[in-house]
Amino acid sequence: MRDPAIPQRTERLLQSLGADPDFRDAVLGDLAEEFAIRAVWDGERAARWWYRRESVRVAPHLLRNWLGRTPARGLVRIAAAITAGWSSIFALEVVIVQGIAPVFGIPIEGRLLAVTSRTPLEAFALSVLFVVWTHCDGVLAGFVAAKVSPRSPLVGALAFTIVCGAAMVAGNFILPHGSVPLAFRLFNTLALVTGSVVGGLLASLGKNRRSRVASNDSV
Amino acid sequence: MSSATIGSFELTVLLAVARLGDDAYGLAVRRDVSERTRRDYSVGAIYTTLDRLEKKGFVLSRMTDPTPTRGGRSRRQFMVTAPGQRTIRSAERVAKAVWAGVGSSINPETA
Repeated sequence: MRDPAIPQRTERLLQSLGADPDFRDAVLGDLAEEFAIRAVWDGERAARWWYRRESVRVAPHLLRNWLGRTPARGLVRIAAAITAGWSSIFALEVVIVQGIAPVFGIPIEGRLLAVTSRTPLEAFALSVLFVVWTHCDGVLAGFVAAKVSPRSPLVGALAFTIVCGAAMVAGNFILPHGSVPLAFRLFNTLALVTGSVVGGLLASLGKNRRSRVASNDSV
Repeated sequence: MSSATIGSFELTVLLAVARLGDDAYGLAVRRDVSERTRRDYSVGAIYTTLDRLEKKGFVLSRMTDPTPTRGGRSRRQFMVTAPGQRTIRSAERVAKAVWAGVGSSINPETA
């Protein structure tokens, strides 16, 4: 009979929260041990459900450990991750605005205004395009923010998401937007926020998978 | 002598470590505390408290050999230090003093 398998992705995400290795290994080891017991008693499905639920409860403690361990260095890394995220968005925007958009004839001038200044069908198509574009911005920024903080990639991406999301929500209500509908602006914000979370997850899962393969190879 | 104070949950965890002796590691402490308090504590909450107790000098920890059931990870085993034992005795004295004289005057059935 095969051994029950721990939810690998969940474990990798917990590893990416950057807690002290001793603290993290003790916590993950306990989760693994309890998972094995529950898989025998309650079945693998119930054990997996328990593992995921318990991971949600454990995550704040791993984050707290990370922050408590190196508060100054941690804040510097978070600031670096946020800056890198913004920079990557800026770089992507330059590439699209200067290089890609003119080639395909996409109206860049007044990116948001373009949504309302066309026929309904065109406005809808452009809205979708811009929301997808913003989502891609978010994925890239989240990915870069995670890569900048290699010991705690998910923390870097989440920090960027929170700061960026808060700035965009504030901007939606404070800055003048002419006739651009609020719903579109909020969708745009949501696209960026979800994108950066996705980017952070991609970077975290990819990093841990590679380190796992490397450790298997060394054995 | 350690002058650090101890909270009620910290004391509960410290007592569990003392009770479990050589078998005091996160999972066992969690089970013990959860059974006695009838509350489901997370592994993280227990380790955060154990970490705090270690910083205060009430417990010591050491890593054991890795085991396959833990995904190749070690156990972090805890033991109560001398300041920890003194704190337990002190807390017991305080509790006895605080509870003295209450006895049968408290009866929720007739209140």
